[in-house]
Amino acid sequence: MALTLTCPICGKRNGYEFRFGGEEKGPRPDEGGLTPARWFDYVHLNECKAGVQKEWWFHRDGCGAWFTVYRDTTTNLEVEKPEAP
Amino acid sequence: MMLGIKLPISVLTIQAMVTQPLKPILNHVISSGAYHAYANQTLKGEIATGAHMDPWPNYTTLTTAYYIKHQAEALSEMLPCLRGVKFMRHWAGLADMTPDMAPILDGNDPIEGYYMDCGWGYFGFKSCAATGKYMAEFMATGICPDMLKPFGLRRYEQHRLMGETAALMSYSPDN
Amino acid sequence: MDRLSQLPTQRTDPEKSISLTFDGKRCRGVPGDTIATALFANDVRIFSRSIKYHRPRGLYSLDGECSNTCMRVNGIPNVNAENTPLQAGMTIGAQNVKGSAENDYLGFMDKLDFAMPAGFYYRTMHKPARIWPIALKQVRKAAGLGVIAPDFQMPGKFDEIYPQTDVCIIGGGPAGMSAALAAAEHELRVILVEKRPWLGGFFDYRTADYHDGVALYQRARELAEKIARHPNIRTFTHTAVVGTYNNNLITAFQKGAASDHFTERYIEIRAQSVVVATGCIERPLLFENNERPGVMQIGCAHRLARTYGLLPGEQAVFSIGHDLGLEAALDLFDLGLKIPCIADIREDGQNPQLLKALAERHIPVLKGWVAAHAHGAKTLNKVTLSTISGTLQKDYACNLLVASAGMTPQTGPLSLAQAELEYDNHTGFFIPHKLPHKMHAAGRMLGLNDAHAIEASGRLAGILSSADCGASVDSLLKEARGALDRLPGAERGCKLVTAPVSGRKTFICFDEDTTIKNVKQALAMGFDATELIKRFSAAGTGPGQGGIPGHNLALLVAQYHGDSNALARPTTVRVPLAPVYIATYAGANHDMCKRTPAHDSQKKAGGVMRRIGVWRRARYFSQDFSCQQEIENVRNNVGIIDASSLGKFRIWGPNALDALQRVYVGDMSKVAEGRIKYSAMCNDDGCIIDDGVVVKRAEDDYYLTTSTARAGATVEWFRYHSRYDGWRFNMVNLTDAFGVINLAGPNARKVLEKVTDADVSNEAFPYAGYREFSIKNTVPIRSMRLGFVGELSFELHVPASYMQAVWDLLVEAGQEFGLRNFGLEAQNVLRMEKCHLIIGSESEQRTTLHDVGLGFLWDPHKTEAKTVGAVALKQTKEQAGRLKLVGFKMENPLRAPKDGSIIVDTTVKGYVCIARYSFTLKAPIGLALVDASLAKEGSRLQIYEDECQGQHIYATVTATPFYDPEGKRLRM
Repeated sequence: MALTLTCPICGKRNGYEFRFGGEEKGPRPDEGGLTPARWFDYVHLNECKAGVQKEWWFHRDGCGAWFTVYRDTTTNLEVEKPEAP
Repeated sequence: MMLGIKLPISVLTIQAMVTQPLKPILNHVISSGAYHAYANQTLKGEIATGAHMDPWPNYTTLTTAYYIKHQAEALSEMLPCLRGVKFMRHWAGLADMTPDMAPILDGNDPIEGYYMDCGWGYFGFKSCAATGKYMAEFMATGICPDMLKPFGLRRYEQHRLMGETAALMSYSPDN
Repeated sequence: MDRLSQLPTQRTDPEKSISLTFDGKRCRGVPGDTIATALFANDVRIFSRSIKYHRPRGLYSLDGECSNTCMRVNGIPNVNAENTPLQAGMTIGAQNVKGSAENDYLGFMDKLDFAMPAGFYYRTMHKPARIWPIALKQVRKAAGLGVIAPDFQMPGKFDEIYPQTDVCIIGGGPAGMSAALAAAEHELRVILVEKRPWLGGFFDYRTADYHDGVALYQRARELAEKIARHPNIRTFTHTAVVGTYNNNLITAFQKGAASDHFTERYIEIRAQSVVVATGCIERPLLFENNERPGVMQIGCAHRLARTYGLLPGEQAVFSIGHDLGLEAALDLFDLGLKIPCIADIREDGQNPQLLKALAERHIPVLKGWVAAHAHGAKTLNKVTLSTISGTLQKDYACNLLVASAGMTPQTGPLSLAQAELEYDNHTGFFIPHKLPHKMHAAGRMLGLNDAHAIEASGRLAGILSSADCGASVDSLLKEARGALDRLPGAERGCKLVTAPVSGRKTFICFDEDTTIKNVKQALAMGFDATELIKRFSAAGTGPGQGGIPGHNLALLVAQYHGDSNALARPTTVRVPLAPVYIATYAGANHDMCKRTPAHDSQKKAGGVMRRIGVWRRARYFSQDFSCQQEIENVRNNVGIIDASSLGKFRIWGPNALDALQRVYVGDMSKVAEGRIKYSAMCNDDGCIIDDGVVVKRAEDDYYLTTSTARAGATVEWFRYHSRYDGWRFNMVNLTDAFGVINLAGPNARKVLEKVTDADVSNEAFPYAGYREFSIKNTVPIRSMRLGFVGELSFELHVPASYMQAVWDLLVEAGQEFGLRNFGLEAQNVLRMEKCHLIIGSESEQRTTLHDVGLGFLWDPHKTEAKTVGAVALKQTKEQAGRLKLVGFKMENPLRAPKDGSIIVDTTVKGYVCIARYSFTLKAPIGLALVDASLAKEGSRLQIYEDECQGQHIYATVTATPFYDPEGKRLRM
C-alpha cells in the first residue's frame, strides 16, 4: 500500500506520517445514564465497513492536527467525500 | 450486519515475509520486543519473519513498501548475518483484531443458536484443535464450557479484558 | 575457450582480463562479463546441482529466472551468477553439492524419484510419530540452498533514495525508451528504470534489420543516446523493479558500478503515472530432461554470442515456436555454430524471409516438430525430436539444444498493482484488460513483435502518461493511435505447453525439481487448481518464485480442465519481483536515537548506555549490574541521575483546564499554587496509560510531565479527546527543551544549597512542592520535590542549553559529599522498594487504575468533564476476580525470581512484574500482578520460572511499601 492522505493544513503527505484514530463515531456520550452496552458500543464496536468510511487521522510527523477523511477500505486509498444518497 | 450484531473487531492487514531457503542456521524462534521482530527457519530452510500490521483497517491483503524495508532494518540489527540473505516473498492476509488480543468465543447470546468464534487476529492456528473441541461441546450441549467462559463477548462491557496470559510482551495493535 | 571478438553488439572488452577463482582453480574473465559468462568462457557447463535430485544444472535463461546458477561468491550464498557482474578476485564455489558440481556424490538421488512423489513429505516420515524428530533433522539438512555462517558480515555499502517524478517507466527496451522520450517532450520529469546494465532490451544484441540498413542494435543505441542527452530523463540502469504498489509507488534496487559510492541501493519512487514496458521472458519448453546443461533458451544462446562473444555450443539443434528462434539460428550459424536441424512447433506462420535465409544456408526446418527428449548423463550429447502428435521421432547428436516454447509477458509489475489480466487466445498471453488508475502497458508484453509497432506502442503509452500529469495531448494522442493501428498488431503465439512425453523427467519448475509427472500426481489427488498444485508440489515456491513455471502451470491446468479461457490464471505474484538482499532493503540503516544534553558526561563517568525506546540512557555505572553501590549511595548519601527524557508540556489557554479535566482522572481544578499534583491518565477501558505531575504556573497556564515512553503521544491524546469540543487551548512539547536532573538522597539538600541562594529548606520548599529559582543566579530552573525513589529528592528542570553546565556544577558541589551517578537499573530497584509504579512493568494492557492500587487518584464527582476512563473506573470499582498488584517477599532468602515468571496453582494466576534482591531490606522482594484470591497479605505464591523443570519457588504477599512505609525519608 502506498497510502497518501491530505492533511487540511499540510496537504497531501505519505500515509505513514499519520496516526489512525478510528471510525467516526461522533462526540463522547454524557456519563449520566450511560449503560455498559452503550459505552461498549461507543468505545469498541466498529462498523468494519468494506467500502468508503469516514475516519479520523492525526498528523503526527507534521502539524499535529486531527481531521477526518474518507477512505475506501477495499482499495486503501483516500477518496473524495461521497455524494449524499 | 444481517443480525444487527456489531463486533469490537478491527480487520487489519498482517504482513509476513520469507527469505530464500538456507541450510539450517536457526533452531529456535527468536523474538525481540525492542526491535518489534521475530524470525524462525521453516522446514524448507526459509527464514520466516514479519507479523506487522498497519493500524488502519483495510481489506486489500496488499503488502507495504514501508514494512519490508522496516523489517530488513530490524533484522539487520537483530541477526546481522542475515544481511547477506535475500528476501524472496512478502505477502499479507487479514487479521481480525480485538481490543484485548484475545478471541471471542461465545454463543446463544444475544441470539439463540448463533455462535461466534472470531477475533483470533494472527494467532488462531495454534489453538484450532482445542477451540474446535470446546466449541463443539458448547454447540452440542448448549452450555458454555468453563474453558470458554472468559472469552465471551460481554467481557468488554464488563471490563474483563483478556490478554495473552502466558506471553508477557506488551502487545497492542500498534506493535 | 576462444571468444568471438570485434562484434559491434558486444558489451565486453576482450582486450583486458579479470581473474577469479572457481572451485579452487584460477580462471580469467573479461570486463563486462557476468560471473556466469566468465565461468562459461572457462568451459564450466555444470554450475550447480538441483535441490532434490541433485541433477546437473547450467545456463538456461541468462537472466536469473531460476536458481541454476546460484553460487557461493566471496562467502555470500545464493548469488545469482547470471545477474552479477564479475569483479576482480572473486572466489566462487558451487552450492548444495558433495564433491563438486561436476561430480556430486549425491547424484544418485536422481534415481530415487519414485520415492519422492508430489507432496511426499506431507504423507510420510511421521508414521509412527516418534520418527518425525529424526526425519525433521534430515529434511532440514537436505532442504535449503546456500549456507550462511552466524558470524557472517555482509561486505559493501548500502544506500537509499526516494525520488519523486511525474512519469516512471519500467523497462528500458525500445518501448520503454520511446515512452520516456514521448513523456519528456512535455517537460515532465521522467524516470526510466532498466534491470540490465544498459538500455536496449530485445534490440540490444540483434543484427536484424530495423529500417533502411540500420540494424536493431544500432537503433537501440541511438535511442539510448537520445535518452542520455535529454535533461528531463533520469535513467537508472542495473536497477530491477521489485515492487509496484497502489497509488503508483515503485520500489527497486540498483547494483552500483565501480565508480558509485554504494554496492547496492534501495530506490523508492513516487510517480504520478507509470508505464510498464517490461517485455517478455521466454516460455520454457517442456520435454524429458529439459534442464540438462546444454539446453538453453533462445535469448541465452543468442546473447552469449552477441553480447558476451561466446559461442554457446559447437553443434546445435533448435526446438522453437517463435521467429526470434529462427533469427537467432541464422545469426549464430553465421557466427560459426553448426546447426543440423531446426524443429519449429508451428505448422505455419513463420516469417518467409527467415525461412528463405535458412534454406540458403541448407539448414533443415521441421515444421510441426518439437524436442521430446534430451540425452546425456551430465551434459547434452543428443536430442530426440518428435512430431507434435508423438508418432514420429528423429535423433540428432548435438551439444546445444536451443529450446523455447515462445514468449511469456512479464506481467509481474501489473499484477502487483492489481491490474486484471485475461487470457488471450490469439497470443497465448495473459493480457491486461483492466489497468489501475494512471498506469499503462506497452511493447512486446502486449504480444507485439514488429519493431516499429513496439516503439509506437511505447510512444502511445508515454503520451497517455503525460495526459495523466496534465499535459494537453489530444492531437498527439490521435496521431499516435493512428500510427500504431497502421503497424502489425499482436502476433499469434505458441500454444504448446509440453511435448508428447510421460513427463517423469520433464521439469516444470527447476528450483523445486517439480516434474510434469508430479503435477499429474497432484491432479490425480484432487488438487486441480493452480494455486493448490503450486503449494502441494512446491512448483514455483523456490528462489525463482515462478520464473520457470511462469504461466506454464496455469496453462497446463487449463488444458486439464479443457477450458483455457475461463480457468487459466497465473498464481498470485508478490513482492519482491526479484530477490533482494536484506542489506539492500535496510539501506543506509543509520542507528537513530535521541541523546540527552548530558549524554557525553554520562558516558565519561562510566555510564553503560542502553537503548530505552528512542533514547540512549545510562542503565548502569559499573560492571556490577546489581548496582549495589549506586543503590546504597542513594539511600545513605546522595545520588544524581539524568532524567531528561521525561515528557514535559506546557498547556495554556481559556480551556486548558477543561482539557486537563478530560484526560486526567483527578480533579485538576484542585492544583494548588506552589504544589505539584500527581495524577494519571487512563484509556476508555479505565486502564492506566500514563502518570505524571501537573503544576499551575499562572492563570490558565500549566506545566505537566509524562513518562518517557508516552511523551510522543501526549499532544495527540489531548487533542484527540477534545476534538469535538471546540476548546481554545494550546500545547507545546517541551520534552527536548528542558533537561532534568534528579538529586536524591538524605544529603541532596546540602548539595543543592551550594549552587543556589534560594531557600530550599524543608519549611520553604516542602515535599510535593514546586518552586522556580535560579542556579548561581544565572540559570532559571523549575524544581519539584517528588519521591520516586523514596528519599529526599529535588527534580530540577533545566533549560537544555544549560543542562551540562548545571550538571557539572552539581557534580562539583557534590564532591565533598561523595555524590555519585546512579542509572536506570538502580532507580528501578529503589522505586521497587517503595512500590512505585512503572507503567508497562507493573501494568499491562488490561490493568485498571484500581488494579494497581491507584484508584484514589480518580475523582468520581467530576462527571461533566466526561473524563476518559471514568465510566470504566466507576463500573470496575468493586469488581471481583481481577488481577491485583501486590508486593511479595521470597521464602528462599537468597534469590529473586526472574522478571516475568508466572504465578500458578492449578492454572496461571498472575505473574511477577519485577523482582530483585533488595540491599536496603536485605531480602529478595518483588511486585506481582495476581488474581484477587491471592492478593491478601500473607498469601503464599507459587512461582514457575522459565525452564525450572517443575521446581517451583515460593513467596509470601507482604504489606507495601517495603521501605519507609510512613514516607518519613521523603519528607526530610
